[in-house]
Amino acid sequence: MVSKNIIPNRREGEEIIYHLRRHWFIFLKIFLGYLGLFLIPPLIYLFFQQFMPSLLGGEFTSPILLVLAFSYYLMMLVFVFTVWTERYLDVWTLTTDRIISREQIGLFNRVVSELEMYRVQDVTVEQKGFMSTILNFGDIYIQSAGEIERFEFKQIGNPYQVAKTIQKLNEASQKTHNITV
Amino acid sequence: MVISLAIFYYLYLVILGIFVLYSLFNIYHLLRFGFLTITNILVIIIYLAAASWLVVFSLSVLMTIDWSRTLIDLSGFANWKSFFNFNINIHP
Repeated sequence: MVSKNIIPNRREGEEIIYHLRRHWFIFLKIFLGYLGLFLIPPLIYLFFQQFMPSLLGGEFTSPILLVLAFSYYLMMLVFVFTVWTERYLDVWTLTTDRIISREQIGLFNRVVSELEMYRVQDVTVEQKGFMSTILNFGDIYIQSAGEIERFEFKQIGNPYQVAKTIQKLNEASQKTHNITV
Repeated sequence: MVISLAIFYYLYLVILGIFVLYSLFNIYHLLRFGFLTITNILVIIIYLAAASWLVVFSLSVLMTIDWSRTLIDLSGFANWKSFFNFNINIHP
């Protein structure tokens, strides 16, 4: 595991401001969504018990149904864990000099990219939907003059505060690089 | 040829293999790229506990079943040539 204080190619005097992750509600939503799917086998069992009880006690059908139920639970568990891993490993780091994006896209695809703070041109916050407004989370789009023109922070908490911090860091960075807008 | 109920047991073992493989991939990723935080460690421990319980419980239940029972008996097709062993008497 990596310490929170370690960032790739750390420069002298570079300070970490934030490590940003998706809002906790996103993880809760994943958990609740799959909790519903975990209830499907017991519901099917109740249905069979009510309407086709002979299937549950059948010499062949009973072991086959058991295998199907256990297979379903194994697949669901590993699927939830994979979705969790993919979301949890998405981290966006703000430092005094850079914005570092680390995104896990599927199990075998990890993208790490960075943007110099002084290259930031525009920061846009987008909050869509009832829950994101109530719980204060949303997306941040960062327009830049760099190779990667648009950076995206997905479903992070307190997006307006983060956007304001980026703008302040951008101004400070431009001053140190003697860039006038 | 006889196809026994065990075919479903083997199918379960294959799924179990895929489950173990993907679990290891996930844990590797969390250990390799995840931050050293309580949440990360706790999630790995909870997952390992839940996965181990599910595997042990399912195997203990499935081991009580007699998998040697015949599901499909194809032995009647073993001497399939007999299907075509008929006499045609053509009387001129």
